[in-house]
Amino acid sequence: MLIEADPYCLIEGMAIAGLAVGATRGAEVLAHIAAGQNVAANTALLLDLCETMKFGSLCALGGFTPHPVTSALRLFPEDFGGTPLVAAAE
Amino acid sequence: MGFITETDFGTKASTSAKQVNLTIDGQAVSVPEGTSLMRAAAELGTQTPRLCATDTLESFGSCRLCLVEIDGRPGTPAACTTPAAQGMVVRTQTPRLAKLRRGVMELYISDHPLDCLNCAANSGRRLTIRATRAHNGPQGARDGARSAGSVKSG
Repeated sequence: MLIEADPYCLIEGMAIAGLAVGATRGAEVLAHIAAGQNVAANTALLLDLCETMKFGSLCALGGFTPHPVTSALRLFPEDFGGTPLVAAAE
Repeated sequence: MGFITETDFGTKASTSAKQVNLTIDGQAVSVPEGTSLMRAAAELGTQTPRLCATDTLESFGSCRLCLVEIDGRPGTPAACTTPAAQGMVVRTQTPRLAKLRRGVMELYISDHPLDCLNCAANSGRRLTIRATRAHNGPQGARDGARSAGSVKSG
């Protein structure tokens, strides 16, 4: 899902370094994580990239794009090789 | 005989008659209203890192290396496009800013051919040093940070 979301930002942000380059590298790192390569190191790299994009982007789209990524990392750790969060009581 | 070196203040001078007082990295400074934070810092002798700003052009805040922290304001605005205001407390050098600038520079270099040594635009060799640092810096060349895929070529 996340990997599909990123190309939109590439089209929108062609002229903007933080967004265009950041989203490209983000999609690449996500692909590496999805393929199971160096998951822990790549997840740390992804969080680092998200931080750079949030505060370093010229445009608001560049500043917002990392949010769904960081939310997914925080709330669905099992998708990134971590242990699932405890489910809420039903 | 060398070239004449002129100080580049980063942005144009303001012609306003009204002065504003602010604090940059703990130093008090008084500048005409409308002066950018980058120029105000430069007048104190503080060089804010930058790639796109020069005092012969209007600032456009593109390179994102001159990011600064301002007390009471969210995020990290660019020093070249943020005008100085009365009572502002600004920091241009913090570990957080250094990390952000390194991250932005790393993104630039990740989409740039590594031909600095042969590049005509790099007569001063400063970019070579920066590029080398970005590639071989404290964390080394990072997976995904240097990529075969160019953003421009899609």
